[in-house]
Amino acid sequence: MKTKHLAQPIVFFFIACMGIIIWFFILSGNLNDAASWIYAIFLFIIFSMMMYTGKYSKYRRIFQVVFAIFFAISFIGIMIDERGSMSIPADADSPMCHIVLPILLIPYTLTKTIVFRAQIINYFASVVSMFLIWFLATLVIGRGWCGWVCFYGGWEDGVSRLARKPRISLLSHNREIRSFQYAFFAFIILVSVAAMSSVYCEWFCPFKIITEFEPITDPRSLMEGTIFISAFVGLVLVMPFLTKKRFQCSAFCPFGAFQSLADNLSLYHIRFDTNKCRGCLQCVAACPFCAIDPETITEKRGKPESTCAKCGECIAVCPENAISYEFAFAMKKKNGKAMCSRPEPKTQAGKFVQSILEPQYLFVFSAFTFGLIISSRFVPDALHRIWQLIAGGAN
Amino acid sequence: MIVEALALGLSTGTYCVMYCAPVLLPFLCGRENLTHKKNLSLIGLFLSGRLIAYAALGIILGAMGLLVTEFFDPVMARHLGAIAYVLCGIVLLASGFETRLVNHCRLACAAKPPVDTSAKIIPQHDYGLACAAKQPASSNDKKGINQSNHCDALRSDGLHSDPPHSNGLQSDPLRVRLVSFFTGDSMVALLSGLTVGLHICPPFWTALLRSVASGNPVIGALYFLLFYTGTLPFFLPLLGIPFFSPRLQQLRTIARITQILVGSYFLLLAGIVPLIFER
Repeated sequence: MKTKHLAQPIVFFFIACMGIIIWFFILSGNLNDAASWIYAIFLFIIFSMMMYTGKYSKYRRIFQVVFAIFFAISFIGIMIDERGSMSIPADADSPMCHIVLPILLIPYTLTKTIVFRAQIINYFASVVSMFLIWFLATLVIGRGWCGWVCFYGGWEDGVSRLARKPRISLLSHNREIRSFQYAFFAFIILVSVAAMSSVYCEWFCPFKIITEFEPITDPRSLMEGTIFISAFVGLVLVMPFLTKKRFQCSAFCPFGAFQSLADNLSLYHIRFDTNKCRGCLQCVAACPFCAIDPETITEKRGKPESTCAKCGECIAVCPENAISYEFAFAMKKKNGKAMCSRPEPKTQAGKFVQSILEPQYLFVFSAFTFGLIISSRFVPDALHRIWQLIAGGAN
Repeated sequence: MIVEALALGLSTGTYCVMYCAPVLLPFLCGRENLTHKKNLSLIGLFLSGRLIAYAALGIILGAMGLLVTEFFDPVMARHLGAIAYVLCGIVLLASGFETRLVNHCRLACAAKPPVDTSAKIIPQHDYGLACAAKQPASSNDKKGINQSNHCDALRSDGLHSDPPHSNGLQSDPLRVRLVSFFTGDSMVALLSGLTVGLHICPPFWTALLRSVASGNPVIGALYFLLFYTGTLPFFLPLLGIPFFSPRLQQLRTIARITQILVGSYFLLLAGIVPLIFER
């Protein structure tokens, strides 16, 4: 599987298409900007290597880690430019992130109130634009957002790779971790409805200290700050390092739980070929989202559990090539097992079209495109800021 | 005034649901063996608790009349709400951890099979988690009886008497009995209804002012009663919980964890923190 891509012209077809997308979203209008060129070349190399080698998860991880770090640099820079600090002024609107989306839905449905101080339009991360992006992303990649696009997830992805082996094994607790994530999601939704405010942002968000936070002026805000710092250190740095899992994404993130529920709408899923699988359980250990239990394999369920983020780590480690991306409509249940029922093409033209429509290529292309679009302004901006810092320091 | 009170309840019932849902939804979804009858009785007890709280406030504030406006300001209302959150949090946490105790008890019972091989399964009953333990056929087996009684004490419902097969709780300390009484499903439903009834939401505030303006305790209580009646239709969807809850073990597990999280949030972040740090 890893080498058969070398001779396939279809791979070059997708690389060419990605080149056009990179041109359109990164370089168009920025031809004189060195930072945009650097990022465009980086993206092109990453995607080319991804398609050329078939090692999707490895290059996805590099992209997501780079995006996460540069997003934080850019976002903090923008906040300091606009406000003079990372703290949220009392009367200011705040750009919203995707994690808040499920928290806004039910209060808005019940009372037509958006329980977040964000602008409706005319802001780079306003309510309407985030809902549109989320809806499109959900239809196409589902919870693949967490594995390919999320600008927070890269922190955990990077940290979880620093250790050679896990110090704490969570394999026997996968089910409990998933249950806790759904419970935490339900809790956040219910108390946000009762309090008519985004309780997650007020008390629990682990990413406040790398984005924006309430100024520490009284004991309450001191408590909030302590919780934010503890959550970031504990859930985003320490636990991923000890467990080699994306712990915050797997156990706490309310958007992750919401996206797991919404994933049924998406076009792509992960499929286990139960005929090829030898039950080595390497995928169980590799899954960073605690979405594959030993029982998932031994009971030949044919697909991972509901919290799968389609990151491709299981595909990379499977020695039998038994795991792949598949269209949702092609996953049919037969005798209780998920299986693929795509017909074989009979003509050369049919083979060519089916090669283009291979779900693994289409999914990787779509997911990478979403990541590219979301990162298209942040990463060049961060490069600018770093360059200004270096040049300013040199002067 | 009758129409006005009813209309106020009907038009603002969504707010009542928003305040009650964090308490009622996880509590009901997390119950084992939730039959329609049990679900209805728990909702009824919860709503009775709310009614008692509303009626009490209506009588007190109506009797005091406009004098209330001298001291019942938003700050005091916030403090009352925070105290209600603390009490509600304690009730939810006690109930949530009692469930864990029952599970531990059940596991402990199951892990220690009796010596007597002629064992029988203790039948499940409506008002508590069934203990899957095997009880010795011989009622003279002291160890078996005590173990069974301990399970019964932990799981017995607060407003019910001992299970039929229990020999009573003579050998258990009084506090076990008290804990099991106050953390039983029925008592938790009633107490949480009482505490939720003390939350000061915008419609409650409106009803309160109208009640105060009446200057008569009977009319004040009646106004609150009618306002409360107007909010009842919004609780009808809860009657559907037994259709899916008993079939989904994972849902019950999630609901129990949610209940503990909500209880902790109410107790600490919505209750104690505002009481201590906010004026």
